[in-house]
Amino acid sequence: MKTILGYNDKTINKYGTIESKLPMLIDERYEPFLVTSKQFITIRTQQISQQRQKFQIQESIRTFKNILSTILIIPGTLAAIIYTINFFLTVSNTAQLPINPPEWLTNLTFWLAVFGTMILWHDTYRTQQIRTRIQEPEELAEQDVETIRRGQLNTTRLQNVNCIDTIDNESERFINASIIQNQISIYLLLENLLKDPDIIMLLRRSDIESFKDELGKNEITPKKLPAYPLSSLRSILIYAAEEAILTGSDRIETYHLFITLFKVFPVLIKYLKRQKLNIQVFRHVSEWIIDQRIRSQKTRIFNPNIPYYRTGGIADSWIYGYTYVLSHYSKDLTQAMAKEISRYGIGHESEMDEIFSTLSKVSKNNVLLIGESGTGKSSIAKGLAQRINQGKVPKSLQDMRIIQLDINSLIAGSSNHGNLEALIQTTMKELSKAGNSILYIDEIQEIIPTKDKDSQQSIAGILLPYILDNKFPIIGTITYADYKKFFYANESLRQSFQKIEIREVSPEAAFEILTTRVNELEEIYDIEIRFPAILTSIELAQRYVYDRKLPDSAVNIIESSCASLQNNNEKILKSSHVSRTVSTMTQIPVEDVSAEEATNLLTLEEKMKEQVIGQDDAIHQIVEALKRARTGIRDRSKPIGTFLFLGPTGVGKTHLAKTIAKEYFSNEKDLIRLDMSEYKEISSIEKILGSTDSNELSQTSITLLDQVKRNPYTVVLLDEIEKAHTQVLDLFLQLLDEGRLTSNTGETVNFNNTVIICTSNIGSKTLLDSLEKDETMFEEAKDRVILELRQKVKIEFLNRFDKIIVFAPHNMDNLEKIAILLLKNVRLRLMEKEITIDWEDGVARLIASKAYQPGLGARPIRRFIQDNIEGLIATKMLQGEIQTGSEFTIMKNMIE
Amino acid sequence: MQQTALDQKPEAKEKTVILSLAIITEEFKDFFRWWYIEMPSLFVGFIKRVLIVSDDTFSISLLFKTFFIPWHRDTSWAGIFFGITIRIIYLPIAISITMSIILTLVTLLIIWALMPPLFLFFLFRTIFIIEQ
Repeated sequence: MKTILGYNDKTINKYGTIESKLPMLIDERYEPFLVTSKQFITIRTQQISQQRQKFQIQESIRTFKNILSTILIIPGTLAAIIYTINFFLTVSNTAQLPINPPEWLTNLTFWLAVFGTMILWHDTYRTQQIRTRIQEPEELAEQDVETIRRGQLNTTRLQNVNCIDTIDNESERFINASIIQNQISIYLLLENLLKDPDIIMLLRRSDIESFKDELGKNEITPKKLPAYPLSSLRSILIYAAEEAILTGSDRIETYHLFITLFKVFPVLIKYLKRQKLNIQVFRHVSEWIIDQRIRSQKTRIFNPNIPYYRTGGIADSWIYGYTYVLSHYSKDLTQAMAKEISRYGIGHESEMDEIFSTLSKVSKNNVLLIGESGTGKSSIAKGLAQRINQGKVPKSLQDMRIIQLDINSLIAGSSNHGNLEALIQTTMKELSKAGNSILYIDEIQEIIPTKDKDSQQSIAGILLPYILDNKFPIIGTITYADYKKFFYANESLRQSFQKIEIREVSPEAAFEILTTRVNELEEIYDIEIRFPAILTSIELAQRYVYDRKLPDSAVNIIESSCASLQNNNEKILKSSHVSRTVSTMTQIPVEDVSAEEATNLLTLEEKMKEQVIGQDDAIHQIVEALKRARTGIRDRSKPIGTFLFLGPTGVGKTHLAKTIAKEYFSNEKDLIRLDMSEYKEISSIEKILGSTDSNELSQTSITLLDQVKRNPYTVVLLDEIEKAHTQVLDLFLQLLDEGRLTSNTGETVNFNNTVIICTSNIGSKTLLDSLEKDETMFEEAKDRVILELRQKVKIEFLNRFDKIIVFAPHNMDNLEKIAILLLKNVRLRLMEKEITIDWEDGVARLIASKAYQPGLGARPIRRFIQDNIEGLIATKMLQGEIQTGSEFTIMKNMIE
Repeated sequence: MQQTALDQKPEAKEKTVILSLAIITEEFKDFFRWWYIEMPSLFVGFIKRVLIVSDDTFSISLLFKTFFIPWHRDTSWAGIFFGITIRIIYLPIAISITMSIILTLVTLLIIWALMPPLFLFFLFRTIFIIEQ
């Protein structure tokens, strides 16, 4: 926490804090203030009135000065031009211009123009200055925050600042233009601010440039944004001062006033919510605008207000040793980074401090950066180079350079230099002699398996003496998997490096990293990037991209979206484009539900009931889970839904799973089905998690995890779970609870976009017996089935299902409906051959009664139709009785 | 509508006039403060920055710090001798260039300081010539 907003109740001299809701303090009794670690910012109404009066007079004087300067400059400039032209014409012996004013006039107008320029210059300079700067504060101590909350405030060690003095000229102008009869009109202020180019940029980059059109409509009216007494301006300016601090500015600017209005007034807060935005987006854009301004100044190296980073100069290379051979296979990263404006190592400041501490040591000063791919290990190395350039390093590391070794080019170049060992020896000797160097090897694991052809020694072995002797510090990067594979077994190598773990950056750091790349991406793809798109890319990367970490995952999404946009000849990257890209990348629908999709979801239950007969409860439960998933209100850390279907064979358990895959996930073939009877042995775990053998050949079989990785948005069906080994079932405990499994190679696969359905025949006999006795005994039978289930399957496993659904055995009515459904399927197939079939009333019932076999469910119906109906039709087709275009009616007597 | 001076009561008008005169006086003072204090300070800061950039570009202080380090760290007598010799030849040239740049900038600063009186001088001289 860097700021505390509060107020002083003057009548009782007590302090209070302003926490969540920001009031407009109109009563003079309450004096608002802002506390930071360095300044105590206050404001009084009297100061506002005085400053207003002063401003008006100054504006009049400024206008007069501008007119005077213009009157003085123009003639002087003309005279100077004429004089110069005549001078050159004289020198070249050409006739002078017909206009040749006398010398005294030229001199007079020239000096008056000089005077005018001096006035204008002074005026321009003054408009950019503010009277007092807001200092960048540090985090407030918890103690201080509590003290203020208790109503005590000691400001003796803080600089007292008048908030009025921190406002820039433009903001002052807008405020004054919005004051009417000693009242500040909020609506007018908003209207005026919308004319400011910075605000226009803010709105455009926030993707709400149509906000201007909203004025006067939808509650954004003078009635909802009324005029307040001048005393209320104190609140606005204090809140704006807080915004200035939060966006890293040293003054109150127009966008701080603009953001304040959106923090204070409910109608504007509501507007932002409707646009699915929040204040934070405005702050990010404001920070970016300020950052752009600073970056443009960074190119002016002679500006004394911008830090200058030494590059070493002409003779920099004189003080290092010759690295003739090394230079062919390496890059001076410090020099390369000196030309870069972008900042590297964002989000890893603490890791960089740790790295510098290790590099400063006398012994064991080698560093190994371990982290997943895409977490920014290479970016840290570049950030280190930048800090060396900036001088923000311990004294022992100043004037050092980072040399990045290219292992692959070294290996390729070894053929020109005798052998690899000789080449490495040469380059390392050069580096040792050069002095003041840090060796950086990206993906350092490459040095272990690669061997010299002649001596059969690995690069690591050749480098080991240099690593152990600390001739120069070495920085290496490696992933966890490669560290385990290559470094763990090598004791001496492992002990020579200080391990520093590089974790995924926070979303805030990822956002900052992406904003530094906005200009570069806009230039490459010739598009404009809106900031909500950046926020969406980070949010979706965290939620749906599992094989990469932030910031790499978000960068990848943004770049893919930019490329896709460029292909479609579109110019503006918005959130919707990013959502579309992620949907395409992951095969998971992440975009907002369209009208068509909403209709499909609402009618899904009815459609499924038409295809799956007699299991309405199961269908209802599953469809509700899918609706929750698609509308985004479910718990995303778990699978979409986890269900256990119990019931005898042929009641539709697997058929329901297939219908879900077909109707909702749009492809029945994408259903991932595991027959758990194949998992009776403990070794069958490898079919799920992959082989423990690191041999590539053993990794060729497709495991469950591979299937889900390829298709993360699908139904996973585990048939007959009671047949699997108990340890195999234990594996699924984590899957059902947290929606992920980790393979034997350490890769985590997420199942939280799948529907997991397990089926079991436990209790089938009990259910069938209940049907034979009395259909109303089914409820009682269900309870007994559940008891039976608990005896055979671990309770912690059962507890992890969202729903355990017992499928009722089919009665004759259901079987008849199933018969009709199957006959309709036959009809559909024959329609492809332009043959129309129909059936007499009662045929379906007859089929059901003839095919019925207790305990076997719907399968006998299917077999009966196959043998008796399809067979009959096939025979008649071969006999020529049924031809293309003909109609055929199935009669009862054909079946009896 | 914003209140203009005409709408104000006489006492308020008088206050406005006093305030306006105070502001105009302040503007004059501020102009000279800006011309003779702020801008020269900025310019001196600029000169300091030029000095730093020049020092860095020509590696002057770096070479002084590493005066006895051999040429490309070649620790043979030839490397040591060449390293010192090249510094003895190079440094005076680099320093001269830097000093010329600084001298030019200082001259510009002096011209800046003299500009207002020079302006007044040439203005009155021109008016005097016209009168003659």
